[in-house]
Amino acid sequence: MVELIDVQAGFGGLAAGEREAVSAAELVAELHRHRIGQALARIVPDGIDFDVERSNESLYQACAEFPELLPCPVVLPAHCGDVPSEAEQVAGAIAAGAGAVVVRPGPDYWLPERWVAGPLLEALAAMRLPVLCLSRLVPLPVVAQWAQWVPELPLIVAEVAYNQNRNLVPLLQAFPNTFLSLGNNFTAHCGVEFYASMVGADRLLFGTGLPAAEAGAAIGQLLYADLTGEEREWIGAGNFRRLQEGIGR
Amino acid sequence: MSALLDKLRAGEAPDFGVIDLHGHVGRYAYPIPDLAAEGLLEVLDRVHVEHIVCSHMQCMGRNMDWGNREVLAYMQACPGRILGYVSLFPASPAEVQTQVEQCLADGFTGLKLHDHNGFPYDDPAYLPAYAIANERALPVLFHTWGQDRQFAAILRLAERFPELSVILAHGGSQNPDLYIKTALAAPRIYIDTCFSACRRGLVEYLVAGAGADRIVFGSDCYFYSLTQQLGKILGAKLDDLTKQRILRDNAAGILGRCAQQGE
Ligand SMILES: [Zn+2]
Repeated sequence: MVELIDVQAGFGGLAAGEREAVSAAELVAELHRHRIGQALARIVPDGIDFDVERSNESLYQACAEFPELLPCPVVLPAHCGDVPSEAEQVAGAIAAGAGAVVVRPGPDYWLPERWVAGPLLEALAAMRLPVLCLSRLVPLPVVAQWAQWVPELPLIVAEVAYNQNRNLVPLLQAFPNTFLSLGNNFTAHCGVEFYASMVGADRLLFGTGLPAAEAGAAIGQLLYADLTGEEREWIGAGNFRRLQEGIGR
Repeated sequence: MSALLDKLRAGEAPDFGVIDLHGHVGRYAYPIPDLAAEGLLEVLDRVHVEHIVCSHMQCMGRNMDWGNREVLAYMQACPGRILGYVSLFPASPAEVQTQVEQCLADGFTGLKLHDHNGFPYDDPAYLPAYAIANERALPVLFHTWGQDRQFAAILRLAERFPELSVILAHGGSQNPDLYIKTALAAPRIYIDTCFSACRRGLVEYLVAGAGADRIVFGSDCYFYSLTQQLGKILGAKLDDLTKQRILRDNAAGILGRCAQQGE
């Protein structure tokens, strides 16, 4: 059976109008049901989650209970001194076992410009700690700019809309440090095969979009794709594992 | 435990032939990786889809004669596997009637209507098409996105043309309860499952509300990935018999009705 590691998952957050958060245990149960070995987990939904340090702490605590969960904490620029320095945030994330971090320029009130984001990106790049770039928070032009500024920093593009082929292909072709999560709601007719042929299977990562999305969708899209066994293994888990090996722990 | 989820996880196709009631072929504004009929057939074979009923990607435009001819070419390239929905533009009742008669003579299976052209589904120019489809008990697939006015028009049509198998596309994309309420308002209204955002629990919710016999599989391929939309059903928290009803049995019943009428 092809090993699967999910780079696009989460738990613990609330969207406006929701009364109950999905727990880490519920996420893990869904992983087990679909036999997904591990997941990079962040707090989702993140719409009404404003205290980054406290939120990261709750993420670390919940992940510590489940070996299946690798934390993906939030990091942010530290120019105002209200949060630890960029280097301290990155070191803290790595010490807590983070497999990647997520950034939220809009919700955390910062601009993706170099004079704001530069030190953060450089601290992350120094440790090769991958950054999850959710399309609704980090649009593709920003990903392109960051990829150019810090070419040694892996940037994982996630939550892309299904109709972005015309933009995603040249982005992935132009910047070798960019990767694509195949999680919700990436969907394209023969899309996995297409991206594997256009940019290489080594740039694609299995992701689901749990708990908002049904994991079977991403599983079907990958496991029913016309790929070699080796390509499927890379996308399922191997590429993510290589990114993990690159982190300066 | 679900044997069908096990199959999915092993990358194996279901044992039974799946029927996909919502497909598209042809070019679109964003690039489709593989436009060849052979490419689609290869996907159908790989995941054991017996039939897919398709309209053109550009199913809301003025020049539907052109779009329907393109669909016909796909049907002819994969006879019996790629079936066709006639797309219509309500230019005039006479034009609509001619288009439907010609396409049905060419072997099309049903109608697909889209209201992004700015015309409601009960626009008078469409009426000859519904009358013909009603006589033959054909499926009519309506693009819907949870809007009251869409469902109100469709319910008026279902009442006036009771032999139609009415399919509401994109089940639960918005207002899931309205889909359920509409389906339950008449005996032959079905909800299809295609939705790019594969919300966890949505298919289960539709099944619980409308009943398993009212839910049919649609992928919206080429817009979406057929394999992704199939995986959503196979991975859902439903028993295998229910999954098979959605993926095959209900659609077989719909297609069987129009085949009988045609005999
Ligand atoms: Zn459609």
